[in-house]
Amino acid sequence: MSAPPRPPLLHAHGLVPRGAARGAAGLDLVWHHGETLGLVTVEAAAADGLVRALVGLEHAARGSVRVCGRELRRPDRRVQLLHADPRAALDERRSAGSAVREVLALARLGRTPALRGERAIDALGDAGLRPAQRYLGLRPADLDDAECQRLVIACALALEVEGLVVDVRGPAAMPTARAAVLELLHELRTAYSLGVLLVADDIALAAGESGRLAVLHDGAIVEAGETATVLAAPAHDVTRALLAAGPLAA
Amino acid sequence: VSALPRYTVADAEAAARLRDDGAPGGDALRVAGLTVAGPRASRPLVDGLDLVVRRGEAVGLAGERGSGAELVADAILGVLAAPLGRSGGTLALSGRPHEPRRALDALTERGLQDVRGRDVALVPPRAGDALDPTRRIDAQLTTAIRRLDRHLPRAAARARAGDLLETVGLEARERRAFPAALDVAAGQRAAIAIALAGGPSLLVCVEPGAGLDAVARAHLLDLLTRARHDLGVALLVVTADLAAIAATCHRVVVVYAGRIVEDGPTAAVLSAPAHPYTAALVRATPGLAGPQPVHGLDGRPPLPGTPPAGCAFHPRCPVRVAGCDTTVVDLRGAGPARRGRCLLLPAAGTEEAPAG
Repeated sequence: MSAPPRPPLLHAHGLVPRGAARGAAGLDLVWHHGETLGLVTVEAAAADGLVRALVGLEHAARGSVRVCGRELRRPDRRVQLLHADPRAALDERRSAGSAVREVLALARLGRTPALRGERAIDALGDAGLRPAQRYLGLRPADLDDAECQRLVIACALALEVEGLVVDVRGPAAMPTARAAVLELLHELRTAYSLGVLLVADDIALAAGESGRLAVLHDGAIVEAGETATVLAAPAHDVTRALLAAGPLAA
Repeated sequence: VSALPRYTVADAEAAARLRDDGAPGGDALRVAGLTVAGPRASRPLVDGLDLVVRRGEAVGLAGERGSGAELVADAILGVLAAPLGRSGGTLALSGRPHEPRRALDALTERGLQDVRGRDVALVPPRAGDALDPTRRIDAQLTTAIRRLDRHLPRAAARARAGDLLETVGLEARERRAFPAALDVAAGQRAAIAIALAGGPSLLVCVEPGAGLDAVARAHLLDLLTRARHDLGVALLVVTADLAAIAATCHRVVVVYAGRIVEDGPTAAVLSAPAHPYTAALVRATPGLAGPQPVHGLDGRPPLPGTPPAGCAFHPRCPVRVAGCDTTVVDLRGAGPARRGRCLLLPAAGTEEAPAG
């Protein structure tokens, strides 16, 4: 009677990105639909490679990534990357409306220009760029960093993204603006059951947003579990060091 | 578990003890009515800012990009980039007891060059990038020490350089290295050693730890606290990161649109903000209230120099009332040694600056 279990949104198995140290352990990670999962690491180079491999921007040296049960061989619209610097993902010559219509056309979603235009307006509004009509003609230069981040999210939403890998490493120059983007992701999780994989160096940030934490060290997860459990009884030295570094230390 | 040198847990308890080490002495820095004007600005970018840093004290100047906080750092050192300029206010330094107060605002560029490095030193964001790539770290520091103290023999300068580099936690190998061979954290430590070369009484640190990960950042903040404790140097920490201020500073001054909106003891301000902007900044900073989701603030800060009428924060303020858009509020008393600039605070008994 029961339906077959739904495969996880993303399942990494023994994943070793290119450029990793020889003999590095692989990453095993299960990320479920609609789940906010915090991946905490201060190892910048290793995390960069993993993030690119997880969203299919780069082939891994070893191991596999499955998205909804299927092997990931090239970037998949269901799992997308939200870069720490949103401007890196945007074409500065393109207006917001045109950017969203373009990704729709490339993905062959929305058959006519008019349909794509409607979907673009919906996506901009869902990403919190309201009123969307006002943003249609604005280019990245007219937008602040947080609005650019929302525009990238709008592009992802237009493609019916199911999981966003969000890079939030490093301190924010505008904490209130970054928090607003994190708050939007929280709302999208409730409204569209969007999965969020937060890649953070600040365990306090990851712990506040995520139900589950995974701590990365030397390319492998050294501790994972429910956020409350990890915070209450950190089992690994790396986790303890991460906790001691932030405001959760007290 | 392999050896994890980069994960050594900072001795949080020791750092906390250092933070609460008694009452600081007299004023190291006294800023009154500082005003920085810019072109095409209807109002100064920094507008009548009062700030006191006592000897051996750490004060956080909290402001997001465009708030004017970073201009305060430049104004103190006399390095505001044209066309910006200081158009009013006084700046006075008095780093050591019995030393006459020196008015920075009356000094010429020549006089300021004497002060920079010796009395007040700047640690800019990503300070490691400012190292000379062609010279070894210890040689750079020796040169810096001898430039600031011309009578010091070379051997003594070299010895002092070695001590300083040990103080900031560079290994022997790193002290002899060229900057390109250092990681970002070690580069920033080296830059702090150079800032400390002249034995300044005040260190102005802008965005300490920018470009570092959370653990390296925490170690760098511990280093600043240790330097303050061991060398008696006062700190002015200019950043948008309240967690960094909470980890280092006795007092915090929050700036929005060029004006102080709140100041007071760090723990009191962060646990019960008196101004809604401070409250928003606290809610946006992960971990300050335990592992809670952060909350953002809608809208943009006003463009520098063109704030809205009344309270500059009123268009984004969740608790605004009638009158917020017209009334210019002065700083009001908001508890022991605390001030806030909000119409909702009781108006009676406008208090003096906490360090009066």
